[in-house]
Amino acid sequence: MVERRGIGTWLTHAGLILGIALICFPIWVAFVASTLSQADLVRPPMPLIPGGHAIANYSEALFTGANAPVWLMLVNSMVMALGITIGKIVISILSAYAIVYFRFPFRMLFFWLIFLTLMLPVEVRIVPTYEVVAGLGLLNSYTGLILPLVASATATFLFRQLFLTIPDELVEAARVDGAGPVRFFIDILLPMSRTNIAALFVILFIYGWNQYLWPLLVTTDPSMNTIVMGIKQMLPTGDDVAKWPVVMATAMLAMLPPVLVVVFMQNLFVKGLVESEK
Amino acid sequence: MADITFTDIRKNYGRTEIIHGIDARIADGEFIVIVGPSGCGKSTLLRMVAGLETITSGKIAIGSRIVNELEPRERNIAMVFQNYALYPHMSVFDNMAYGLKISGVPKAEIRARVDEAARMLELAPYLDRKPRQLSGGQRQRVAMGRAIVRKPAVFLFDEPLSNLDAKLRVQMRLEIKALQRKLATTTLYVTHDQVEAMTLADRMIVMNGGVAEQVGAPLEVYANPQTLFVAGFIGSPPMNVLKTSVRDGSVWIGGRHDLGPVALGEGAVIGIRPEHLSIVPQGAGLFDATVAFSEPLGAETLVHTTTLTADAVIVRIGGDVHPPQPGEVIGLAVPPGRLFAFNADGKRIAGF
Amino acid sequence: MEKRVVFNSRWLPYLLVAPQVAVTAIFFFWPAAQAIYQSAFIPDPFGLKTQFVGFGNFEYLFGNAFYRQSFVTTAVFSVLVTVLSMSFALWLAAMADRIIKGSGIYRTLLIWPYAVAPAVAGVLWLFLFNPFTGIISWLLAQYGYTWNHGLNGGQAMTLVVIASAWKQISYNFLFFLAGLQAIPKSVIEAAAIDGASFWKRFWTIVFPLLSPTTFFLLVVNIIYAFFDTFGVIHTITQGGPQQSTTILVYKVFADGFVGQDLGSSAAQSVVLLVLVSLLTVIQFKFIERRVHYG
Repeated sequence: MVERRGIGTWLTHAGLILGIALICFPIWVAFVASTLSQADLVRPPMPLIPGGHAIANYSEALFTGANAPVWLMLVNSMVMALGITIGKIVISILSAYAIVYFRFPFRMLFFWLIFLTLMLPVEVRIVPTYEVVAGLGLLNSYTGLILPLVASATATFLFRQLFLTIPDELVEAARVDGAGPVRFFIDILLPMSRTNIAALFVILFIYGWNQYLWPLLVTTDPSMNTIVMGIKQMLPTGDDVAKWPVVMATAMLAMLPPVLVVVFMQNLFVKGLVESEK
Repeated sequence: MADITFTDIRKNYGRTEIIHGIDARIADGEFIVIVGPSGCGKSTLLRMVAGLETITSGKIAIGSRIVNELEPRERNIAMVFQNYALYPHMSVFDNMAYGLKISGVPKAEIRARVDEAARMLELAPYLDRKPRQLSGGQRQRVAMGRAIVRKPAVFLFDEPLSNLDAKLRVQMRLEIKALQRKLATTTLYVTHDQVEAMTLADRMIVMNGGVAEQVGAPLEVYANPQTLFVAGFIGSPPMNVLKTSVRDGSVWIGGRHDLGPVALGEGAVIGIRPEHLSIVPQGAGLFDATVAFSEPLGAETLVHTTTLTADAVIVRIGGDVHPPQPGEVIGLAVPPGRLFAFNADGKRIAGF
Repeated sequence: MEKRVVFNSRWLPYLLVAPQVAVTAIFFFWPAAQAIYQSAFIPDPFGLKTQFVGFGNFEYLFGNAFYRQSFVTTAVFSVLVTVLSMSFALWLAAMADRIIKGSGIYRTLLIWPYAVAPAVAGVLWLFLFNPFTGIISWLLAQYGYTWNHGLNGGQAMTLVVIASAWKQISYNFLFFLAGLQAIPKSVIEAAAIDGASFWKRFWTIVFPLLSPTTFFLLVVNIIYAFFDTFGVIHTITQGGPQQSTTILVYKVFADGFVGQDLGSSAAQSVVLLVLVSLLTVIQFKFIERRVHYG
């Protein structure tokens, strides 16, 4: 369009750059802080360009940490995140498959039950869920970290929607070819769901990695800490001074996997996000 | 009220030039149809007049103003889009009133103008409805109403009838023509349908590949095409094209010696309109052809034939004449002055 | 929406839904039922017996000034987070939509905060605003403004709002951008021809057509502010100072786990359950509306 924007175009770019600066500023500061020494940080203002203490800080974080070394926390986080992601995807796709492709008594009941879980985020049931998990002896275990978070209505809905758009002719052709429900699922449905699974993987991985409240409650043994909840324990309470460079290094490490996943799978992720909310 | 002048208009996308120097002068009140196949640049040209595309070089003037640098809203134009582009969240009334409201026209006058346009377009019962509650034809009228109320200097139409069914299209064509005659506003109308072009235009601009191949009144363009493309594009069924060959200093078409020692040049072709051919006994006409099949349309019949030099030739005969059988070999005669010659570049060879 | 062709099997579907139903039953419905049940009891001081009090816990709750205050705090908090996050995201999306080339780069750069955990976001902003070493608090001090969110309730609220809103901007940005790009270009062009300038077009055409997205994001953001911001509060203020940032979900944690008041915590959980159900129902109603709109 012919638009006498003049300054307008510059303002638009300037505005966006300002916006990005505001968004990225905290992360930049954290990064810089993770490369400085404690002395640099104790007297504000801190420098805004990276210093030379990166290796020292990150090593201290990874191998000493606070109550647990960060490398251990990273492992815990990874196990938990992958467990939740894979768990959610597997049980949701199976449920969606059953609900869409089979007629059986209580089918709609199961569907509504799953729907109801949307109204029950973990924050709403923390104490009793904790009691159940404790009662089952699952505190301080990966199972305890993963299992209570693994039912997912959104993933089930997404798969259900996807399956409903797959033409009936495909099923008929498969049946004529002699495929039973299991074969159909493995050979035909799964491959067709690949993009959705990938997109969901990104979203669920981030959800799982960033869990805070639940790991906080369920782990009392520091060796089971996840990195996102573990950071809190590095913060000062009362009059202590925190070792900020190490804390920031930990924060950077805590952010790294999800950010990498998002940036590299950006297209999939955006598509999945916008689609899954429809 | 305004005339429009195109002076050497060119348009580039990146480094590719897609409009190659269009010149034209359009008088005030004229109905101009820009017609051509998909991709010829006709919509781009229209959008440049509207200000929806920038002009790479050349000048467009509306009235006495050169509008190159003016934003769409400063050009005093109105446009009807192919998909109508109605505001989905507003009622029909608000859709038509929008432009006036923005320019600060007083409410009473808005009411008057919208009612008048609604009456002209038979939209009065629908003023409170939303676009999604209307049929295609009604939406199209609302789009026109939106253009009319602004009383602009120029109307721009971008293939407005393409999304309508055939019957509706014919009806709307007449309504648009009548409307324009009544309002006497300069109109630029883009279409790929040569029938629309022929019936609506005071003058046509026939475009092909970013170039205006011919500008003229419909019957003039039909009777006197300047290029092979125009000859084949305007008129349905299209003009027949026969290859020529030179033998012993004479030009032959259809495998039969005919045209004598005329200087046509290498690769020239001869054009003959289907209605100018008549069926005569084999050997008695300009050349012979074998009948492939016939299409009886009722008022006329189209006979599809193939010549000895493998040219496809269509002949138009009256509907009450008994058509020749497939496989029959017939002769085809042409009255003098009805042959067109085009050189290898597609340009018309004058004085033939 | 039903499939015409289905498989016939007696037992397979049950097997397929079994995992989800099992997890849902054990970890969702059973605890939820527990919460509802427990909300009607109070434990005795020794934790040996419980006494049935019916709605007593709820009565006590709503009579408790701290709890009522928590409602207000939560309301203020969610409104601020939602408005701040959505406006900024809308502005960024409008700018990004104007740019023809390069919007992909801007999008990549704006997506990051989505991947950051609320708790980590809390830590980042805590660092920036640390009363002693934070760079922004130092900057404010240069202008004579003392920052200590450990003492000042308003500042504490400001900080948690900023941290929470910051994190949500990416999500809102993505949806607003998608919504903007879904508006047919020809409608914008028609408005331009009708005489509307960029801002006029934005407010009279673009924004109304964006309303389904806006409503949807409104509900999602409120749910986010209610529940997902626990990490922010816990890392930065722990609900203080003097409960000025104790939102409802934090209070459930504080009373239930720290204070060990199980009956009250259960009752609070039930209240939250009702709230989230309401919000979820609204969300689905609006999603439906979205499909039919225009």
